[in-house]
Amino acid sequence: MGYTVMVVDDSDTIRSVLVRTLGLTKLPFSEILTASNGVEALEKMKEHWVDLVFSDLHMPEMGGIELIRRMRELPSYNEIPVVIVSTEGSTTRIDNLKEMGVKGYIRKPFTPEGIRNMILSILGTWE
Amino acid sequence: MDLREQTIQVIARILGETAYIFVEIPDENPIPDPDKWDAAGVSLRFYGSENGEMRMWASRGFARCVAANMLGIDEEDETAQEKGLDALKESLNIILGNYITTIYGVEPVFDLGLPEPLDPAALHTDLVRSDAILLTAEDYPVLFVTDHVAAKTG
Repeated sequence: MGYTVMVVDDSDTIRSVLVRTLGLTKLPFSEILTASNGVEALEKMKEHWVDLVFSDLHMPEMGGIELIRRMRELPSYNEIPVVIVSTEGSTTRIDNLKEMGVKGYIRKPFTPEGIRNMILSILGTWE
Repeated sequence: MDLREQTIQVIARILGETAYIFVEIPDENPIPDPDKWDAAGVSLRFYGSENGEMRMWASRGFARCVAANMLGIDEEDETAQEKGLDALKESLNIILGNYITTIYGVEPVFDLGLPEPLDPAALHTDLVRSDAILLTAEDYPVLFVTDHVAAKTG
């Protein structure tokens, strides 16, 4: 038993790195799902319960901002916390994302400690 | 610190943190022969108070090394070969995102495009640019070029 987390990023490499980093946090995960854009993420959410989404901002087909908008419109998904993982560091952008309901922002490059602290601050300790 | 030094500092920090690669500034003038250099190039545009593009050229061996180190796999692993270009794209993405806040500060909003592979023919032009940054990393040459264009207002 553990958290079910979804990683949404168009870079195959970053998806793999983030999945590997999640493993290094030593937190319990029952499943780590991956998607390469917002469209794929929404499709997978139809079939899987997700506790937390880590999403990139800029992706083809559907980026992170549109994904958050769609999730907020759908009652089944509007409570799922989203953390943006992006290379951008504008505080104005981060404030705007928080106004949209984003629960956290992690800047690339990220560390296992940063990811771990973010998960614990949003989901709490798994019991 | 001038723009060139700031850029080198960002590149060195990001390649160190993401791929455990140490960057050196070559003492001599080792400009590679574009017809012999097996370079792959990637570009990424940015849009904000200024628009522009950063381009990165690196040997395929370097791309394989970046992918292997990012993924924690052996360089000889087939996956490292397959993901080399994607790893270069993502490295450039992280470098440019950090470059923007270093140069413009953390308040302005800049949008980044999606990293794109470059036409190998563009290497000839980038290699002779006086503002090109040529570095050595893992014994491979790595080249960076950044274009800045004032954004139109009104």
